[in-house]
Amino acid sequence: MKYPKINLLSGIILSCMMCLFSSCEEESKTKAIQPAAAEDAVSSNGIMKLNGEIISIPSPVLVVSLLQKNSIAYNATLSNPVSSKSKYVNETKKALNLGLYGADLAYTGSFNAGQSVNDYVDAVAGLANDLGILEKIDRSLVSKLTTNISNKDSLVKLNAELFKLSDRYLRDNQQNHLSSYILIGGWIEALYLSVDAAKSNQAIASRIGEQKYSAPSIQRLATQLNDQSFAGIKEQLNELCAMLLELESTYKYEKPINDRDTKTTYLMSKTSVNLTVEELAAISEQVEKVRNLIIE
Amino acid sequence: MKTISTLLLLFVSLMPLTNAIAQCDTIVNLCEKHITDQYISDAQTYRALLNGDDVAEFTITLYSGNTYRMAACSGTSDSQLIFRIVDAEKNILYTNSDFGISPYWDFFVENTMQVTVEAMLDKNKSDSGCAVVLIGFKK
Repeated sequence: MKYPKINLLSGIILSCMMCLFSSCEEESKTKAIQPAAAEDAVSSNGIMKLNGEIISIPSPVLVVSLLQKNSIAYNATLSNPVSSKSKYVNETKKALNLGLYGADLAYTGSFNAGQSVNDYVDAVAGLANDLGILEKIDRSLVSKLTTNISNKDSLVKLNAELFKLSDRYLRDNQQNHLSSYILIGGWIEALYLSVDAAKSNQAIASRIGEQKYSAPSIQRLATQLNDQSFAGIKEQLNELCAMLLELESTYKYEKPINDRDTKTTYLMSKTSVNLTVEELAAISEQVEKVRNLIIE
Repeated sequence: MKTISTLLLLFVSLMPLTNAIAQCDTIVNLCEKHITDQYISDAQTYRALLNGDDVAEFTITLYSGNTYRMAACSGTSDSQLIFRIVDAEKNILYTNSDFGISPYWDFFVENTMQVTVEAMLDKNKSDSGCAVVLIGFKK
């Protein structure tokens, strides 16, 4: 195909003008991102689709924090041993286990688990490096993590920062699938770390049941992932989501309370998810099954 | 010549996309100032390109006993993005348009619930641009 020189030149000039105009206007009035072309492109670049949902998965940090609030003792045998890292050779397994180790790092870090914390920092940094993420984000985060292993607040915050920058980099660079695997790995490990405690703690059992709300997001994420090495995991993951979705739940709207001074709104609606002992046992077993497939 | 023309055309067609992503990145960086040290990021960035009356939305689970901070930004100054929180029955639980289009707000969650976050441009200030929503939870 031939492109007349004049048209091509006009295109370049027009495009440069569009860029110039949008940059200038950005300072006073945001405008002029090319709508049609950009809209299709951005959806494939991980930017939220218009009038559609973006996948939102609960942070493993929240689950770990609940364990602490409920005085659940640290159990070193729950985390995936860092020695397993060398088993993960393909991209999919590396990304899944990066998410999983991220949750383990939040777990060991929150409980000030000494040398283990350092080991999990190394595991997270190693897999992020293998996936080409580390060189593209702020490398100093890893040394900050290492120097803050005894300061759990800083550690948890830095860990979240590392995963936020990773997610942003992957989505900006057409690697949404890796970001999705990381999210799924983190979600499963957070569940795995809490299912045992849930047997004797109602608050944690409720949190497991509340994963019903996240199940549709996980299903949608999994649907988009077609790597052969994920096929078996996907099947069991969908089974887990189906079990969560079957749980009975209720919702009753209550008017929120606004506090203008503190810029806070108190969301007062009543909700519940019913989870029987049998359902908890079945879900726990299924979580372990999915997790075993990820870490094997 | 054919190869050069094709490459130039590709370059031209990718420029708006590159520009859009760069614009979003700038806004994300500016918006992060609202997720202060007291908060831990949920490790995700919610972004959309909006035009006119476009509404971007996503659904999120808010867990009981936690305080979440949501920051909503567009453009290079605060208060250009309207956002609202809607429950599963479409009740509007909060909108920053009732509070001077505040660029951030905190939410204490009594019971775990699923909400939809909707974001739209303040048409008095801009008619298109990148919308960014960031979420953190209190340590």
